[in-house]
Amino acid sequence: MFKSLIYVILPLILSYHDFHVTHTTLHYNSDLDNMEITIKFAIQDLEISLDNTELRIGTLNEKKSSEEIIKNYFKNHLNIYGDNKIINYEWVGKEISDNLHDIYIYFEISNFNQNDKLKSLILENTIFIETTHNQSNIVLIEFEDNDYNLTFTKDLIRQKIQLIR
Amino acid sequence: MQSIQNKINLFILFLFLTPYICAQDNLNNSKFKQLYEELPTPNVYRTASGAPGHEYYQQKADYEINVELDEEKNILKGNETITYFNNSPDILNYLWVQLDQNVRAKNSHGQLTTTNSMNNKMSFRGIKRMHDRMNFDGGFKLEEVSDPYNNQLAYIINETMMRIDLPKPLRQGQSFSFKIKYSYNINDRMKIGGRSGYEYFEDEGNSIYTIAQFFPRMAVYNEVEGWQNKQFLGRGEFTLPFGDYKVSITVPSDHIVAATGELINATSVLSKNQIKRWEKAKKNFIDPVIIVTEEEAKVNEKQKSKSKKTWTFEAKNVRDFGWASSRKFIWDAMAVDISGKTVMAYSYYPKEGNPLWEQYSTRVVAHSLKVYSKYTIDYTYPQATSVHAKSIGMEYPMICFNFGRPESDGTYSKRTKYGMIGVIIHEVGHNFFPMIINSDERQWTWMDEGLNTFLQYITEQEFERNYPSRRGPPNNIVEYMKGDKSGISPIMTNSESILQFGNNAYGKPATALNILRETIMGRELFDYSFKTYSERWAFKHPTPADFFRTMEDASAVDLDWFWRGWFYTNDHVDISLDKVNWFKINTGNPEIENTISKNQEENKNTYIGISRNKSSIQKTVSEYDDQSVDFYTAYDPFKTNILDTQDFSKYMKNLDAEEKEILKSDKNYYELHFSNIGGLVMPIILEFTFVDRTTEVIRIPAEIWKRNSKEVKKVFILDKEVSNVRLDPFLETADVDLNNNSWPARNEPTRFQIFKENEEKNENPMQRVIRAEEMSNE
Repeated sequence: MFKSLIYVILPLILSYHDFHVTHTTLHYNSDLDNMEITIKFAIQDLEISLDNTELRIGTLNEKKSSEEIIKNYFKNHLNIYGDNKIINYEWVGKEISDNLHDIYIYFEISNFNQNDKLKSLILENTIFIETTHNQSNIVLIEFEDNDYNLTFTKDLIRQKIQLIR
Repeated sequence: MQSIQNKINLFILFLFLTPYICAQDNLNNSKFKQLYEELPTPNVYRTASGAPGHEYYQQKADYEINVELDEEKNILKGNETITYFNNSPDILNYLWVQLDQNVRAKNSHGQLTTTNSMNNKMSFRGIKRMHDRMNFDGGFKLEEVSDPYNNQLAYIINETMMRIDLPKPLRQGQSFSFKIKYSYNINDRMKIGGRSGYEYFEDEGNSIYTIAQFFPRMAVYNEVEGWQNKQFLGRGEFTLPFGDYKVSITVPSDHIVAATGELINATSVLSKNQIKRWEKAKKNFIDPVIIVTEEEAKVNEKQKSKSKKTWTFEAKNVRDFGWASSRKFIWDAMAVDISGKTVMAYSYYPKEGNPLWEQYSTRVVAHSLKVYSKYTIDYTYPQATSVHAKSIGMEYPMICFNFGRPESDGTYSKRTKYGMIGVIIHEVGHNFFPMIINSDERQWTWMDEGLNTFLQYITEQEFERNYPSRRGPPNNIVEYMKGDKSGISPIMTNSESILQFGNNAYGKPATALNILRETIMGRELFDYSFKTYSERWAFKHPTPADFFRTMEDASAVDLDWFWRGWFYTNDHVDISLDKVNWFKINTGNPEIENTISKNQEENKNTYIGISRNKSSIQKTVSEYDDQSVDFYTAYDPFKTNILDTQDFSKYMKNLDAEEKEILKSDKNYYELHFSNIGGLVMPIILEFTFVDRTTEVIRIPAEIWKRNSKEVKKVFILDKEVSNVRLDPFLETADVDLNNNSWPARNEPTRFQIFKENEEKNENPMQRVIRAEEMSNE
């Protein structure tokens, strides 16, 4: 009981860590027909969202279950649809940033381009939006020769793009 | 991008440096246009050189404050006397006083203007926090506003600002004293947040109070804003005049109090032993000395004394006052030598902060004071304090509240350690920006956060080699700058309207200053100018223009283009090396040139039929029948005859010695084509690698873009043949796309690809340690 109370951390008005942004890059690797997904975020923001600091993410004592929990969190908060059909993405791994503050997680979608038939993408991005005040999630899609920049906030959680060919 | 070896004539070559001239909608849209329209006109208060002018003035506000903490109800009761000095040439009919606690009042503008929304995935905790915030009865409750003779003063409260109407106009050189009696409910920081408040430790029934914005404070009046009475909405921080403070704080007698300024009644609040230890600390420049021990703190924790003690502090020439109080506090101290003057470094923390805090906090305070003093001005206050406060970092003069709490078993992660050291450096650093170099935080967050984050980076790097700094190096800001422009605002944006606060007001300006220091100005010119700005504006109120102008004035580096690009726009850096052309001089010597031409002719690609015929046709008619041969059959265009040689000697005779020298030198001429995709003009830094594997770095100032900011060409005369060229080889310009920075072209692998490649090859270091542990356990 004591622990669950003491570990409640609230990301409110701070002078120091007062910014809550995640960066997601979807980079299309045409050689392999893979969409390579990189998500960068503050470890603390994830701990708050999971309401869990016991995972010890990024430490030597990290709980074995943490990868599964992180994976599930993102599967619930980042949905990708290709031509209105949900696309499954696979876990590749995670890596702590040199600054120790952030973490990179990697996912991958194989056979992404669907023989050049893919026309549109829909992204639903609610990463940390329910727990963090003023969260913004920035997404950059690099597909063939075009870049698509999107910003998701609590007021804009779903966006659609038409792929230019 | 392909290299084409071209043969050209000597005299054509030097005509090559031809810039394009672009006419765009008949206006001067040059990226190098001076900032006359953006910066205010210099005047007698602020000069064109960026220094305070000969009629510069600032107001002064002195405070005498008495507060009492009611620990049971978490209420702070206080009364204060403010004496306000009008040093301006203007006559004032009213004063504006800031009531920052009102941001937490029910239905305050701060709360009403925070957008929020519900969604079906909202957690129970998220909803609870909304309730807690909305139900908290915050804000100042004023009992009395009067003159020193208890005559009521007329006033009106507009949200977080209170206007006091003066009984008679206040003229230059006059002062006015008034009294305010007030109280407010202290917020539970852990439930509803805030820069100040308390953290309650449920298991033992004690709290740590970190108290600030606890008294009505004077607003700034000057020639820039008039009264800076922009409402406090939560983000844009504080703008305050300097003054002298005497503050008496009454708390339970087993509490230890930390505060701005110096304790003047130590004998009535500390034990003889504690005073002895404190005296010892004042002479100890190497290790912190513990003044209130963990054992003493543990005794205090259990006492829960009902009696009270009053701690009295005095502070001279400060712009604000903060304090912290708890019976949980351990206190340690160490002396710091700042140019021969002794300054004290203090830390206050509960046992929950150990072992991290006793090892690092005071040491980091001392280190920060030394490094910041080196780059700005000598720290002039008598002490600097770091107080342990879970999950925040917040600064006040001489005192700051910092996070960094180990796990309950006393272990801590690397992230916690470096996060804590980083936040202490940062918040102690705020003593310089904005507490001493007192910019307007309500208007410009970057002026204190950006400059401070820049020095934080330098201080971190001096604390430990390769310290894991978050902000400072140019490549750390790339992700932000190349992002969706609709989610980015220029640095020169008011504090409340900034998008992506951390990147905008901390990361980008800190990076920009690093780039100025390392790449544009060089360390010597930058450091002198930055120090000049600090000296000029210490204990004064600088504006952005004062900073921009001083940096130029003290260095003779025209930086208008840099401020324009980095501070007034959202552009990013993306310079592309589009093409490399290789030229050699035509020597004119037929012996040499004919051989080259012949080789070129022979090495030309040939049609396959011709190659096959070479062997399949054993002899052609002209080869076996002598009679079919004439002049043209035998003529070799690459053979040198006597006339060619004569022409060449004539040509040589017409050349002067210098020209002959050039001809003899056999140089390689490389013409490089660049385009500016991102928009920001930046220096072009090139590393040439030659075929013999040696390298040469050439640095071209940003002014190469002065006539055409979209495309430029540049010729390089090199002794050796080049095998490859890299643009921005040392990652110093924040170029967002490295894939167009090399010739021959090369694609930089993405972070994803590097990770995946390494993953496939081997395990990560963490997996390796775990596997090693498992092995040793077996």
